[in-house]
Amino acid sequence: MALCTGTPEGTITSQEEVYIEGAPYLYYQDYDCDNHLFNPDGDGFYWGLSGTVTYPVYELACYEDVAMADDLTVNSVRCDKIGDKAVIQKRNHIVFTFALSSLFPLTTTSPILRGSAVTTSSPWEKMGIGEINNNDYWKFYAPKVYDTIACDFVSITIHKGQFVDAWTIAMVSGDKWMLGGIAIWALIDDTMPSGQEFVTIVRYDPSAI
Amino acid sequence: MEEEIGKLENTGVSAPIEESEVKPEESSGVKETSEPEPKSAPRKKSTRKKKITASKAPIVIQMQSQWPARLIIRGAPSGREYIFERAGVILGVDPQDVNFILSRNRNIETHGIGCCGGDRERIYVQVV
Repeated sequence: MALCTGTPEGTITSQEEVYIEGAPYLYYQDYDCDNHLFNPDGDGFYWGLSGTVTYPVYELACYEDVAMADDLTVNSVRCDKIGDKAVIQKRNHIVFTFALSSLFPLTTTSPILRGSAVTTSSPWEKMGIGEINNNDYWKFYAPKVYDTIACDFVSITIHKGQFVDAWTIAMVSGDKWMLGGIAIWALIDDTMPSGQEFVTIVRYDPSAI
Repeated sequence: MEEEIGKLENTGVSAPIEESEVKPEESSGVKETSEPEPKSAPRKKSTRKKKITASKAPIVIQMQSQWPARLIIRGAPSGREYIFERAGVILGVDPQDVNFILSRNRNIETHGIGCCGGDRERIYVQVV
């Protein structure tokens, strides 16, 4: 009997024994490129990136400490007589953080630093750091292939993000330069359908789904 | 010649003109009375078809920047400097500079593999 094992009665949905290790690949693209790779797909989901000549996809190489977190405003509905009856939550944004140790070419790093447009003139590459353009938005795509043989993967697409927070470049003796303090805020994109305003997550796994 | 001098004197030309200076074609008001020159023989029409020549505008090769930055290419054989203001810009390039510009591109064979599985060639400019 189910109760003997401590399991509840009725319909039960159990989890899979799939454990994902390590950071995903990280890509980003100018938000002004209107189209995702799937824009939308057959199920109405917008995800992936598709690079063009004008709006290429930037691929980040070497990074550490990748994390994704939610940022909410939470207020309880408190009735002093009895306690909290409910909670009002508002999603402010989703935060994606990482530290980057591959810094070149500057073309790929300048948007992260909120620097100027880059000029490339072989053998030179030049950029400046000036006023921040608060109208720069980016799309991000973070796929993680957790079964390289079967090509099973899970991916996270941020539709409208900005690089925020103060960065730090650590220049430590005996160690690589590290650009830390990178934070991407996934902001609300009201051009996305309901339920996908911040992020779309898709998973592909024919053996399990 | 003496007849012409006489005509000049009769018309009231004050200064007698030396014979050596009188040239029928230079004196005004003196009609030539010499025999009419024979008309030149009409040029035969060429039987060859007339060549249709193309416009003499310089030939250029259209090249497009693939690089998301302001791209300046100097040192080309023609001596020209090419400035692609941003990715997607197309410029007309002197044909003798095409190979030089294409040599700026980085492929995996000549420049190795990118970091961390990023085995991507780097294309700065492509022929359109």
